Amino acid sequence: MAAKMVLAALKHIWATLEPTSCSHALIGGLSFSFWKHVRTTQDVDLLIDSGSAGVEALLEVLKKAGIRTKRQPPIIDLKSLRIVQLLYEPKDAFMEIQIDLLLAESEFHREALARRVPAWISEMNFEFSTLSCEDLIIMKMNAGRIIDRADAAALLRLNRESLNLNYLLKWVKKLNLNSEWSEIWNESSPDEPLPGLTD
Amino acid sequence: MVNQLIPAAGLEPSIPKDLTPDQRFALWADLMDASEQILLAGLSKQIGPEGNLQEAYRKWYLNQREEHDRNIRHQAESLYRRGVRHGC
Repeated sequence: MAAKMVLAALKHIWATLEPTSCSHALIGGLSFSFWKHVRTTQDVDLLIDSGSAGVEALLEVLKKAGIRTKRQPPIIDLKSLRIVQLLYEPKDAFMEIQIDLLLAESEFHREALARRVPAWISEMNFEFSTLSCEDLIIMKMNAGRIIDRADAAALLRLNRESLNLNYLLKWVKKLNLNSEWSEIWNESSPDEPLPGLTD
Repeated sequence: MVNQLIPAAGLEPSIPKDLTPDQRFALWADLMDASEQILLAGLSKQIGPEGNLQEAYRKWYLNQREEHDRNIRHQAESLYRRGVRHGC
């Protein structure tokens, strides 16, 4: 039931956003499954560029699709980013699922969104986009809780061969994530020297 | 020095390496459903035979959402400390 509700919420907001000009990508726990790290999550998080129409127009589209804002005013300014929190009750569910939109309005978020990759669940005939593994690792290193660092280390270990380390290291340096990077590298590859971070 | 954020290489839960995205999402759904069953068992024990399980589940989810909200704020504060500003 829980999985069905979360996927139903994801499918619904994706179908609602598709006709708009907004670029968007799945982030958070659900997207980790695409990158081989399977863990539970109870909500849907998207990174989104509201485009030239702006956030207010986007909220109107969502409202018409039965997706309501959780707070008033709907846009929450957290200084480094702005977010919109939404609630949607899938059919036959007995409660609302939370959907968070992180607005891609900083250099890092815009670049991460531009690097999104196509994903799919063919059993559900559902195509979507997810953030790249590198960008998810960066976000998790920034988040900083033990569980986030463990997620980052697991993503690194499970996807290391296909990661763009140059890109990853660029943001490690820019965001001063050196100690977090060192920690997750040593966790995932304890016998190998730490790449990058020179100069 | 490894401080065990994740199991040591080779000791992690055995998820086959070559699963397709479909199979990984199916595994996620199984994990979610199994976790939910265990959660419901715990909530049932907590509320007793006369309790309202659906209501208990709803309350649990509200608490989860609050925790999630705190985490987003924490992430935003961390980004701010690292010099990230929206609109830049």
